Amino acid sequence: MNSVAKYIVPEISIDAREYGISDAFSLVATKAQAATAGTMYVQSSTTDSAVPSAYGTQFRFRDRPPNIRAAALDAQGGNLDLETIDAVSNVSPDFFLLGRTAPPVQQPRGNTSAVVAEWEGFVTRIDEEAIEARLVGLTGEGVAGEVEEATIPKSEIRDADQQLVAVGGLFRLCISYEKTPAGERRKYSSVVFRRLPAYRQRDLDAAHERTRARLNALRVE
Amino acid sequence: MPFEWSKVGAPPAQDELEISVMGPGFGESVVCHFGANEWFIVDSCIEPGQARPAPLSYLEALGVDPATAVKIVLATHWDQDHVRGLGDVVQACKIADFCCAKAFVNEEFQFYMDEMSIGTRNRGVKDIQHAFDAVWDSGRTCRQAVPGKVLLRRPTITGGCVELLALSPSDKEFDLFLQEIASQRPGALQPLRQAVARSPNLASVVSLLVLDDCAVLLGADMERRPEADRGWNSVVREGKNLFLKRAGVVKVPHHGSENAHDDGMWNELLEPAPVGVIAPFGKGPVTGRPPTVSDIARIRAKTCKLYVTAPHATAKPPARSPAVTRGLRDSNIKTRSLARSLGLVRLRKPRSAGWAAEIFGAAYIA
Repeated sequence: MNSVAKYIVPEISIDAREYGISDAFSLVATKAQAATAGTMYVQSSTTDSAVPSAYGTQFRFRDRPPNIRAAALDAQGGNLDLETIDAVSNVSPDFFLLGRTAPPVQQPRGNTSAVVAEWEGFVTRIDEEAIEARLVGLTGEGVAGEVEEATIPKSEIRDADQQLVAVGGLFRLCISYEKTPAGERRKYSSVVFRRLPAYRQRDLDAAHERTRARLNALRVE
Repeated sequence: MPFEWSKVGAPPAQDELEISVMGPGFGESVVCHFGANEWFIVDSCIEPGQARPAPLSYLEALGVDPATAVKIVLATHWDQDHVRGLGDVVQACKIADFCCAKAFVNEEFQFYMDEMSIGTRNRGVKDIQHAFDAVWDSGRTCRQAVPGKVLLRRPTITGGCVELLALSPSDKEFDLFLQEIASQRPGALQPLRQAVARSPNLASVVSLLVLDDCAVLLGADMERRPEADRGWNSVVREGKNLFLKRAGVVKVPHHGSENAHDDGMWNELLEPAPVGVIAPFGKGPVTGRPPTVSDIARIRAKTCKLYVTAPHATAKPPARSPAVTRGLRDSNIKTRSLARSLGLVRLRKPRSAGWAAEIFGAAYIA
């Protein structure tokens, strides 16, 4: 996964379980893949190890032929921002049906995991060794729908996400069980920060236009 | 437990002054009747478990129509515990002018607000943006609060005059607030994030209501600072310069927290032993949530009567499966519940009489 993702790794933040996939995934495309084959890879956001091959599934953009997509990217000069936008906005609704309609795949022979509780949260304060966060429970007994505050040690945040830790940063907190092929059960938590969606220049420009219009019309005393 | 709005009774008499402070343990709002069925609202909060802003529910329970009776809506500062439902309040109070700190209508903050609203779930700026949209859409006036500015002046039916006067934020706080906002503005390619107010308290609008023979100090979330041009030092100086009437009632600043205690405020802006009302702040480490036991003891010593709108939220997390509890414990993740219930402290003052207090819901006498 790392070898193909070395150019860029724009992720599409969706909760794949909403689309019938059993784990919390993010979708990862590379520059080369998005430009040519339009191949999407699936990476679990609850474990570091899951890769698409384990599920035997590859997703493809269906809404735009690869050659047109490549031409569009060329026209943008390979701009990372716009490329990321396209990766988000060009996913056809049909794409999300793949998870539901895909034939059963063979279970991986490695470790399996199950999420027992999950929260969505954002950082409200950063201390030296921990972050303060607001959590909204998503799944789990006594968790779903509850609003809580939390103190989370920074050591619980994976190294790759440390640079994303900022006040207001959005993340998911999962408590999961992992089961090894030998039957051993291991409990662990994971804190995964969102990389995407990201602010897009055109959205920021639109926001600025809206601000100017409001300020011009606002009667201020 | 849901708040029983039916118990709030009848509206005040035409010549009666009313100050009602409501707070669910996190969030606060002040509703004031200054005579002749005319009202103003300071800040907004939501009744737990409900979508309706508590000040609107209160007015409606009294049989008062917010659309015609509310003349001013004042947003003291941008903090989640003061602006929840503010947009709905501004929208419902159709003829009310919207008052806010000068920094709110500055281009920098307005840009930030719209930038942070990109994405669909950003609660942090949604309420304040909704408030501005309501003002914008209806063509109403937005009044900037700066020290010494009269936000409201009305003749009373008793032949006197009522004034609502802003005492802050200082120019220094205005600059610092905008500097902080500028540092938080997002750039392209950065991940979407939630807008979080980091230190908005010093930029909050402290106001003084003066009516005939009495005054009420609404302390917002103003804090104490050592610098002469910041925090309570600048507010007290402003009050002394204006020879203001001392207040007999105070909405205690910043939830009664120690960092908002200023002897200058108690000695220069208030009568000896005023009536105090605290709206608590039920967030953060449980032991430090204001007002703490020592905060209450300190403020009680300064007041003749002290009321608190609600007890702190229970520290106990909701019941959940042992697996979840163990998982959090093993990872050294500590969670705190934000469950709470609404309380209301109502002070009414008939003409030529003293203040009479009533408490409703979770409110209590400290």
